[in-house]
Amino acid sequence: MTNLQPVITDFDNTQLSQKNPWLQGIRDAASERLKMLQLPTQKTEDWKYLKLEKLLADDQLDAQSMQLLDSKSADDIGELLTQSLISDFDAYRLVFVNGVFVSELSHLERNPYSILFSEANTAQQQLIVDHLDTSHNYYHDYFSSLNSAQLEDGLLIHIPMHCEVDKPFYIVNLTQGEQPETNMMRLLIIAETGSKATIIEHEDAPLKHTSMVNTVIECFVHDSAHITHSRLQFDENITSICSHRVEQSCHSTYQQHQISLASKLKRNDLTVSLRGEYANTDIRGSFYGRHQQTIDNHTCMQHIAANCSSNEVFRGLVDDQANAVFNGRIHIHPDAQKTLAELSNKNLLLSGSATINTKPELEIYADDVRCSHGATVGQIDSEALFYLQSRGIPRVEAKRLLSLAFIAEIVEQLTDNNVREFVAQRSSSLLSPLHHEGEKQ
Amino acid sequence: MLKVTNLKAKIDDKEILKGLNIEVKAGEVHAIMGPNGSGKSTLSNVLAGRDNYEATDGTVMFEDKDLLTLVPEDRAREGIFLAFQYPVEIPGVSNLEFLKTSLECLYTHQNRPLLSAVEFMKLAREKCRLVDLDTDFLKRGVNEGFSGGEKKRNEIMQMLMLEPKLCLLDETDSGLDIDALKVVADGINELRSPDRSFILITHYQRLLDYVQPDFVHVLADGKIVKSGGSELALELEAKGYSWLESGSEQSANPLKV
Repeated sequence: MTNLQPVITDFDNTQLSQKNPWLQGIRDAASERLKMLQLPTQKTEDWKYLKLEKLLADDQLDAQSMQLLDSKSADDIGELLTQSLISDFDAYRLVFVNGVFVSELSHLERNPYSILFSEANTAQQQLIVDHLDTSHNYYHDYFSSLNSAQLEDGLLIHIPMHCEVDKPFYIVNLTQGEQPETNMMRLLIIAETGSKATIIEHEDAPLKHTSMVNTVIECFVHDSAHITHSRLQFDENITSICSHRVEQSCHSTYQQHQISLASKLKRNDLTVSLRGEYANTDIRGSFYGRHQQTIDNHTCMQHIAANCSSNEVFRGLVDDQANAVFNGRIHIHPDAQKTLAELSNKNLLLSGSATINTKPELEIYADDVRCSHGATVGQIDSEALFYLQSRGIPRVEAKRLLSLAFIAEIVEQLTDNNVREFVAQRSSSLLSPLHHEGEKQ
Repeated sequence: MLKVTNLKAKIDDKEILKGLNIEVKAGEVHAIMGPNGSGKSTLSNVLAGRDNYEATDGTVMFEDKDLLTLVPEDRAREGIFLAFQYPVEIPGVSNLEFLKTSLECLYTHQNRPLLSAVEFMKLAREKCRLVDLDTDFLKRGVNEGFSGGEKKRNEIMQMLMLEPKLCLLDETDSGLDIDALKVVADGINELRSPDRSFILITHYQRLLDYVQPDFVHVLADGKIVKSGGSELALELEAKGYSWLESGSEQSANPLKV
């Protein structure tokens, strides 16, 4: 049995890293913030649906997984990791294993856009320091402060002015290992004026273990820049907490697709701040939880400037005894006239003992805006189920098809063919009856 | 092939079928007609195994199997096909994926070798042409945004693909214009064979102008009250149902075929 909680809460200044001294200011400021903060509890509004202490404690591997881990050689594990990647994908591939960059698995040639913090030149260091922790975080800052306080390295993607990057960035975060530990992942994206790029993040953990990944992503989208950001969270085997912040300037667009598997604990906080006029945000997400898993998605659209639009669509599938949360907040500030903001969250409960808490929130301080929000929770349509069964398709398979159909709207929006096929194939096999012990009602 | 004996069935505690008897032999086409609320659709749904349609008495033997004990997918695998009165729209599941999964389930059950992707596409395109559906429809969601006529033609297309032994058509002809009706009838006639049977549930004579039935039954108040040859349908068309309901001797003594 391992307990992640002391690893997270017993942080003190003596642990501060000396690595990359130019980041010292960031670390110091964060550890000062941490002194004021406590691990969130259910009394913290934004964490009220999670029994965080319990989820961080008593994390245990069952004997079978332990045995499986022991029986794997280093080569086997390497093989497993390679297998989990999207194959034949023409992209700037950047692979991290347990938070450490692995150049052998990455494609570094002809990629002038990304650099590790530890390898940044003086100008890049300045750029990093100028941006880190400057994005607005609507949510409780504990975990992201912890990330900053322990910051040693990270990845910078910097797209120069008017540059259209020729192929996507494919960032892979793989977790594997037996020791309980927290990996701090840090990603900083800066898209200069008029630039355009596609970023695909893929988180995976082929083997079950007890690590936790604490991620902070900051994304600055300057005037008329376009960022397409896909986040594939296939790391079903680990605890993961992510603070994701986006800052948008005039006429910029930020498009995100999030495909998430729940895990023992998965928490995604997304804050998008629309600071420049005519900025546009489009967020599409789907999540799937099963067994006793937990997933909690919190999103906050901060409409600060006028004439911006945001559209958010989330689809959730919750099976077995899994617990899912979706909290979508739209905050329209007094100057954000002519805002167009839409939010929709639909959920399908696949078992009688699954739980979903969905809560759209609107806070509007401008008088000339158009806002809509909606949330639904339903079950598989029995008419559709019978229709499929009447054509010889077994009930479990029919349920799988209908579940996939429910998230198809999100998956089909993935712009890259390779990524879309990869996601469709992974989702399909994940929902296959082979993963289920028996038929459930 | 199918022998229904003294079948009683209810929906939500309301008894709809009140002792229905019918026997369908291989190669026969039976038409079941009758006024609204007489139990026609209930019969097809009970045979296909829909939830909430509970058989309370009687037996249904299909070949040598007790049909009422089988789940819907197993009935389909044994060779029963229901063309729905109201086909369901399933956005997100393409017709292609749906047909492929269905065909694989049936072929596996029948120990037939599965079709290759190319063979499958060839077959699907051919059947689409037979019912006058554009092959683009294969990529669309099942019945998604289809017109009433397209949905009915899709049912016939599925029937042609799956080649069932017993086809139940539940008011497949209602709401169709004359061209679509012709397409549906052609689909049925295409499949007619000595080892395949049909039960056509219909309100009107007009489908029977194109598909000549061997037997016509009148269903009223949950029982077959009169049976005859195809000439009975014409008589019903001319006289309506009221002359049957007012008579008493037929309902007391349902004819067997």
